[in-house]
Amino acid sequence: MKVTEPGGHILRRFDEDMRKLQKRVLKMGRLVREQMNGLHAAFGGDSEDSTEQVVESDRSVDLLEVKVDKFIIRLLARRSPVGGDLRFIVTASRIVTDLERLGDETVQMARVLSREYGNLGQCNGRAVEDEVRELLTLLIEMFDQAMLAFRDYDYRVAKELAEGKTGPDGEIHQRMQKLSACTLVEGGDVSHAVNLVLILRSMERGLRYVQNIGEHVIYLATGKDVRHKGD
Amino acid sequence: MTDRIKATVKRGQVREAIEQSLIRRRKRNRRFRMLGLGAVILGMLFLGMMFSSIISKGYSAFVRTDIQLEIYFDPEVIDPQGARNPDVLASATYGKLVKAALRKAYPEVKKRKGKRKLYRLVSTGAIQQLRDLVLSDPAIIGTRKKLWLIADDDVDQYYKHGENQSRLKGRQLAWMAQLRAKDALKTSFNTNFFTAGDSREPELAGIRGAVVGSFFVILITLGLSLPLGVAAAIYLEEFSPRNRWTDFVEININNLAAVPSIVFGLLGLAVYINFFELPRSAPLVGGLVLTLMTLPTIIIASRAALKSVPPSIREAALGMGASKMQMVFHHVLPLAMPGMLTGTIIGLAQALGETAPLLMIGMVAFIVDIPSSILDPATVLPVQIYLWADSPERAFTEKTSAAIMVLLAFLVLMNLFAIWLRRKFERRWD
Amino acid sequence: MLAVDQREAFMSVVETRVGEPDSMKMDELSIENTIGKPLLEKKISMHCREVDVFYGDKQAIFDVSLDIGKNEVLAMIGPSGCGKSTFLRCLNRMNDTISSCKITGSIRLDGEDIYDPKVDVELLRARVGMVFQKPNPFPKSIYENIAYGPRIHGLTRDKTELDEIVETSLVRAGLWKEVKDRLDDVGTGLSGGQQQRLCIARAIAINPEVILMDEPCSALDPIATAIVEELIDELRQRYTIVIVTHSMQQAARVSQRTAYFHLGKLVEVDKTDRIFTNPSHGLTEAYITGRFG
Repeated sequence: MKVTEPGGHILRRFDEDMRKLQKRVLKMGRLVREQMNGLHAAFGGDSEDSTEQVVESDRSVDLLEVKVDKFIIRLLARRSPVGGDLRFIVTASRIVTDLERLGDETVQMARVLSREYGNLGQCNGRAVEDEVRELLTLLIEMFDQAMLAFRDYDYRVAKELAEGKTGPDGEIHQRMQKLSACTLVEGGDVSHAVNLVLILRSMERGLRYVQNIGEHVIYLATGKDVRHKGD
Repeated sequence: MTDRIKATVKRGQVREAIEQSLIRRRKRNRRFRMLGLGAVILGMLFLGMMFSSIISKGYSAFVRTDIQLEIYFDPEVIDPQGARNPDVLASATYGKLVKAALRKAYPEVKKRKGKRKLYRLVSTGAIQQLRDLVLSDPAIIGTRKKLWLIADDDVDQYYKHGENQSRLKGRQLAWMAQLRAKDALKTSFNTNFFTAGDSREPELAGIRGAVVGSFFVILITLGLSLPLGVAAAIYLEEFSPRNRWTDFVEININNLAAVPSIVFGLLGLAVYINFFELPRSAPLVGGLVLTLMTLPTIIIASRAALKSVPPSIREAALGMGASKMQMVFHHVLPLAMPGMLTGTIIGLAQALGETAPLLMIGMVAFIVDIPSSILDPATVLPVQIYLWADSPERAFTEKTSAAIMVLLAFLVLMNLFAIWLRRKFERRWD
Repeated sequence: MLAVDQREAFMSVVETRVGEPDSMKMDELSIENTIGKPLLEKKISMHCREVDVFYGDKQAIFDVSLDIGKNEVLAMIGPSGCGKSTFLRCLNRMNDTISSCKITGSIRLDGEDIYDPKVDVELLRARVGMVFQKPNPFPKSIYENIAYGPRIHGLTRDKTELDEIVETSLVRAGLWKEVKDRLDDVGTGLSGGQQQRLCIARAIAINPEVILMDEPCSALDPIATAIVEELIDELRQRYTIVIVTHSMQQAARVSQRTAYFHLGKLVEVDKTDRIFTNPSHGLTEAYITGRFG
């Protein structure tokens, strides 16, 4: 049933192709994860190099996206997949798009950080950088869960992710609310507030993309489309 | 993996091995082709020998020799009263006219023995010729006419094949030489052979009686065996349940096809003649016996033809809601018809050439009259051939061959008809 | 809790491992019952319950229950020898011709049990027409092929009516334009695809309620297949169609519902969309994705 099930397709090439597709999606996930790691480090004070690295690696993410897309189109045209195969390929295609966007948001945050480093101000008596860094840690944790769920067809984890039931999700929301409160309450430095809003928006979107990946995995495993159900 | 590498042969070796085996294969092919060709040639050779033997022996039977004589239609002999009564004209002794003409032509022959030899030059058929002439035109009476009269079979043989082939001796040979010198001998087409029945005199014997007899017999055989055979085949193939009883019937039919034909003759004698008391030598009985003989052939051929109709056609008909009967009669039967007809005609051809069973029911009798109904005594072509082949007169040899030619012609015609039928139907149904 | 480094496990995984087929798919999601709901649930054309078919001692069909809705195309797929053709032939009693074949259970056409001894099999087959795997037009003219059904069933009173039926049937089978000038030509002289459409025209000439098709395109080339598939789609407006096919793509293209047979059992029947994107049963999934067959 699954891509890697023993006694797979009668066409062995098809199995190989599917495995290749999975590997490439996971590789792309790893690249995005590296970007996020870089950003995480940058917020930790390891500034210049890390942000540049994040921006740089976005190119390879984009290139890989195009490559995987081509591969998917080829698979669709040549194998006319159905059932689980079809769902897997469609899921892979969607995840690739979300990964690319997640990479973009990471770059966005890195840009803000490199522009305004050390100038994000305080919130509730803590440096905003530290707050954001912790948020990022939580996001990375969720991202890992999402990618592992994709790798393992883990329906339960994906479902928890998508429904926001996991630990990090609740905490992220709490912390983000607190941070956004800071932008209003302080009112002092406008640029601080704007930067914080930009970062929060990217973070919000990033979270959304990670949840999307969870939704895609649910579709992959069950065939049920759960998107836009909670909205 | 390693096993596979071990198992593969080197490309070069493969090529070499195949080339080697190709040479052998080609040789074998050629040998087989030559063998087949040889068989065909040998077969053709035998066939050619048979045909050339028959034709060379038999073609001369289609011509006969005539002798020219000056006949005086003596009113004293033909019609002493002069009333021209047809009955009187018909019953006159025309033989006297022929004898008188011969005496006149050879006045030097005085002795009784010599005269008898002289009279034997002309066939007794000449009497019939003269009678026909007089009856068609009574005005001829009293006139003198040079006429071509049928020669005796000995004269015929002499004229056609020379001295060695004839029983003529001594003076007769001299007369022949004279006749030839006067151009009083000629050959003409032997219409008699096709219009007359059997006769003791070879020059008068014809095959009409046998042909008509064969025709009646085949007609009866066809009329009985085709419907019976086809109906039996359809029932067995399409409708009967498959069980021991039908298996038993099937085995019996197959066995019957292999039973020697003379057994059918004995059966016909016992059943039709002794039990039902049908007349002996009648085409009706012959037809009945031959029907028994051809039925298995027709049933087997018809069943094979029915079996060869593709099941898809049956399914198509049944799928349209046709009943089984409609399926058989609308679709299966028309498609099987060419095969059935071929089988039937082969069976009939077999029946046409059959002698043995007919001997048993008395169709071997010497019958001069041409049968006019299926109850008249008759003979058939193969029996006629058998009878003539058995006759002592030399002239009957060529008659035998000629009759064989006629029989073969009929067989060829029937087979051509079968081929034509098949072509016609197959084109239509293809 | 925030130990990012511990999550590196994911990063290192390149080779993929076997994912256990999700049991949750079976226990957490509802399984459609195997009878399946026809598209228009209130209009059921054929109603099969607990059908078993035996050939002698051998059982070919096990307890199949299936509804066939009006004006739907139901595709039956499955590996060779799975009994889909056998089941199809039960629907118009074509199996009657095989004496060793025995059928239990009930098959109803508009509420009437077709295996009732009182039912005329000829009438049944007129109501449930059939198109076969190999195009099998009668070796007669095109006109005679179409006219045969109406003629034996006495559907027409005169020649003009018959002509009309022939024309409409050929028009509906999309063959009229191609053959209108040569109706007297022999039907077997047409191309394979045309022959199959002729067979369809012949079947619809007696206006059946259901048309059974037994792998109707397996002897045709892709273009002819596409034309026949298009025709099937059009015919759905008037007829209920049950089609057995070896080509899953064909089932996906032409049918509204698909039934998957395996070893004489009906494994799953559902909307075609669902069967081909997310079948409920692992066997169906394995078959349609080409993991056995």
